Amino acid sequence: MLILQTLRRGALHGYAIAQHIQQTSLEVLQVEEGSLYPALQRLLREGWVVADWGVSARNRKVRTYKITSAGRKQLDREIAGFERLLAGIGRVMRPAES
Amino acid sequence: MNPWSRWLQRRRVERELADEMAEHLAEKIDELRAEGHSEADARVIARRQFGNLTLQLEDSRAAWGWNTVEQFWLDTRFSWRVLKKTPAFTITAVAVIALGIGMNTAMFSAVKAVLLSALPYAEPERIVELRQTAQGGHLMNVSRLDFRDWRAQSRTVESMAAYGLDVVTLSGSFPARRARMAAVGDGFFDVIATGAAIGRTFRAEEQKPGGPPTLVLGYELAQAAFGAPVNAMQKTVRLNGLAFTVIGVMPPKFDFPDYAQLWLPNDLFPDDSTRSAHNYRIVGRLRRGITVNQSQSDMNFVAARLARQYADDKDEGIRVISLYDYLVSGVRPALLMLMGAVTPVLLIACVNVSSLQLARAAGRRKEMALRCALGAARGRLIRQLLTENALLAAAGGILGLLLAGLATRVLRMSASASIPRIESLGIDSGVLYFTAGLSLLAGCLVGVLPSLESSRAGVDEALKQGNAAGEAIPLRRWSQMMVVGQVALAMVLLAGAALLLKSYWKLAHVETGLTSGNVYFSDLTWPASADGNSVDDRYVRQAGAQILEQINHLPGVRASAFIHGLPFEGSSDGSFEIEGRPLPADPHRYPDADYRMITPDYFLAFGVPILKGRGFTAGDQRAGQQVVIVNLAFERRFFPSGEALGKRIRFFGFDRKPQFMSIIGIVPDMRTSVLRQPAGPEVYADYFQHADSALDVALVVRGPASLQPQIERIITSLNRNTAVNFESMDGLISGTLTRERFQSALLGLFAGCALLLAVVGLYGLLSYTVTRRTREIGVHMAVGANQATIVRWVLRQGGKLVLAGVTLGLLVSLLATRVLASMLYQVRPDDSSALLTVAAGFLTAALVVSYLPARRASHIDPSEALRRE
Repeated sequence: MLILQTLRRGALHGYAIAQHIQQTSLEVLQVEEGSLYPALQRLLREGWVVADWGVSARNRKVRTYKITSAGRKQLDREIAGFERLLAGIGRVMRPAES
Repeated sequence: MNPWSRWLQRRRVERELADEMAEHLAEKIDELRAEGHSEADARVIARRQFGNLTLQLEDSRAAWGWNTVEQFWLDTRFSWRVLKKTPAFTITAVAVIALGIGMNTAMFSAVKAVLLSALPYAEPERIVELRQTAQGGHLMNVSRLDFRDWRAQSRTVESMAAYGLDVVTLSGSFPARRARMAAVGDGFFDVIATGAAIGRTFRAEEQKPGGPPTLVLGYELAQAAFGAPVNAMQKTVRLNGLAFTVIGVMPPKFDFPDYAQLWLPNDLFPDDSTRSAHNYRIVGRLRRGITVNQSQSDMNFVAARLARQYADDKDEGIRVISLYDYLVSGVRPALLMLMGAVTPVLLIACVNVSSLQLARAAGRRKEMALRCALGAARGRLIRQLLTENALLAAAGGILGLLLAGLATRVLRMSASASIPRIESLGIDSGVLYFTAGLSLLAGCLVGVLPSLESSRAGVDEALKQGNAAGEAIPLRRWSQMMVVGQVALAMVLLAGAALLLKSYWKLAHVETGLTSGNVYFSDLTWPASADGNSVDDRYVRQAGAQILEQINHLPGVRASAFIHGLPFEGSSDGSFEIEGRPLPADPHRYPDADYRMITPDYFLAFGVPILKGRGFTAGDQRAGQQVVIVNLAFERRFFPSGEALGKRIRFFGFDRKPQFMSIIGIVPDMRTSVLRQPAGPEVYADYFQHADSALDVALVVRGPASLQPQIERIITSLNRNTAVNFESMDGLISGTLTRERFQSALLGLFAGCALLLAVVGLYGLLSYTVTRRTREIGVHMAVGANQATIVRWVLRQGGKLVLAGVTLGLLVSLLATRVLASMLYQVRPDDSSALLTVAAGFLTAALVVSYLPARRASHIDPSEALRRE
């Protein structure tokens, strides 16, 4: 979900995705950067992203990933589900307000 | 991209991924350096943040689902290398599994051939055998008159045919030979839904009294007699001297009923005299959709109606038996028992290999820990170990199949006489599936526990030089439990085998009352008279006496005789009347006895003394008074105060005109029909006084077997339509125990293997324990333990386990051997001497086997043991 959300803003390569997630989450989400790649492969297989070889800002030959329309739909689904979950948790945590 | 092109391009994708990750790292390093880290630091930090490169790469591949296939291939290759490195273990494991699988496969193929495969006739489930039941429920053949009524009145049986069985002498353009004949009635071939392969079966006019005499040959018999079956067509052959024309040959392997080799119409010589002439068996085909039970209730009505109508049918019933049950119900318990007994052998084999694996697992803890530390997931390790075991099981399965192939051949040869349908035994696709399934099961059984155990190794502990710290406690528990389990299972099998063997031994040593050593016999058939049912008595008296006289003149012959109703080949029984005693009103309560017809020297040939009175003499034949000899059981039953001599009895249906025959002698009781049963009342009549009523006799000779060719010449020179085929009497008697021998030999074999495996398992555990605890033993010895103490210690280790196993096994045996109860002769299923002997034997074997590692332990050099590691 995080990867798809990141890619919604435009095509990025692996390193950039990792950097973006880390920075925007203010370093709360510290994951092994390497685990990004199995996840990307899964997204590729599902057809939610497509990959293309390109050149990075630092002039390296890298593979950039772009979200597809199927990917967008999936992202919407996941966000909706996630928000429901959050709302649920919120209600449990603050029962007085309900 | 479709999965195939993806699969083909997977190398490229992997390479790209690796590149991509390398780029990622490089970029990270660049950035870190830009932040001021040194080159080396940056590299370390980047790697740490990235995680396990290899694992990530592997996970990425997994996303595409290639891993399963690839890993399987890798695992297989790796397992192969591991197994190759430890050939002793691998060979033992494969051999043990092969033994288990081979035996199970062989046994299963026997069960399949006999119990599971369909009968080779169209819609075999509709074919039934019908019999009359006597008051006590035992089955009887059926008279022709009753059969006709059954056929007319039944509403559930579509067609019914009567048949009778006999052994005849077949002669013609080929050397005379004995052949099994079925005299079959109208409709027989329709019931069994099989027609002739060449020619045809009988037409209506051939099935009537006085019709043209025709017969149908079995394929194999036609081939043996005429070279090619087709050559038999329209040839004239002689059956007991009577001429018949061959009109057809049945398809290959068709031998219904009862391994018949030739068929002729039974209506040629009908006997419609009485409803008590129980001469025929009935086979029928049920109407479509009718079950055996429905037909049974239908026939119950018929039986009740006939019982009201005819005195002879009073208290008699009809039993409908499916052909399948009729053929196999006798062997089913034995086969199922054996199948049940062979399963534990596989179980023991699996447990055995499993505990070998466990022992190995302890040695491989470091390897596992290392692989774990390198990032292998536990599931992945388990998978690899399971692959290793699957490989072992597969190899065991293949070897087992070869073993089973051999075993089935032996089974087919050794059991063909005692087990119906076993001749079709073989390895077919069903058996192959069974073996494959069994191998899979074995692989799982063998693999699961050791895999779980060895992959559990704690990384830290195992990697530390903790080799001498000894094995993990749960591991030892498991190994011990496995040995106890193996011993218990083997003990149960041994107990069963011991009981069967003891019972067999008792049966084989039953006192028959006949001295059968040096006695041999041949069945032979006198040429029939024109009606096919009797012989020319004058011819028999003359030819018979001449044959006996010539044989008796041969050097070394002690005695020779003819008998109608050779012991263990069958006898007739009939009801009779005692002169001067009123008969009971109910014909079923008439006194009855087995009767046989013999010539004077019969008792001499078998070394049987005449207890009272005298034997037959040549003079009896000429005298008008018919005479009989009876046994003690007869006298006890009918003349309890011992005054049988001189009394006269008259058998019904013995001759055409039954006469009173006077009892002139009394002989001891002999077991003459089934070894299991003590003798019942028996009557012996003088064959030469009744020769016209018995075509079939056996020639019995007591003398050297080397004379057989000369005797054969004597007989065939008198009549070339007679075939002679000598067998030893001992062989005939022991042949009645074929099934018992088969059962006890197989169970003994299974139990022996189980014992061997269990003992090997124990040996393995003990020697492994000694190896693992070399240091401990060294310490003990260093502080003063002597060799005897160490030996005792090891023996106690083994003894405890075996004692536990044997006790458990004995307890289970007490329950399990009950299934043997019906197969045992004069042995109770809880026969304590047999069970305790086996237990003692097991303990002794265990002790002997334990002694080897014990001795090794006691020879450990303490200084060397302590210096190790």
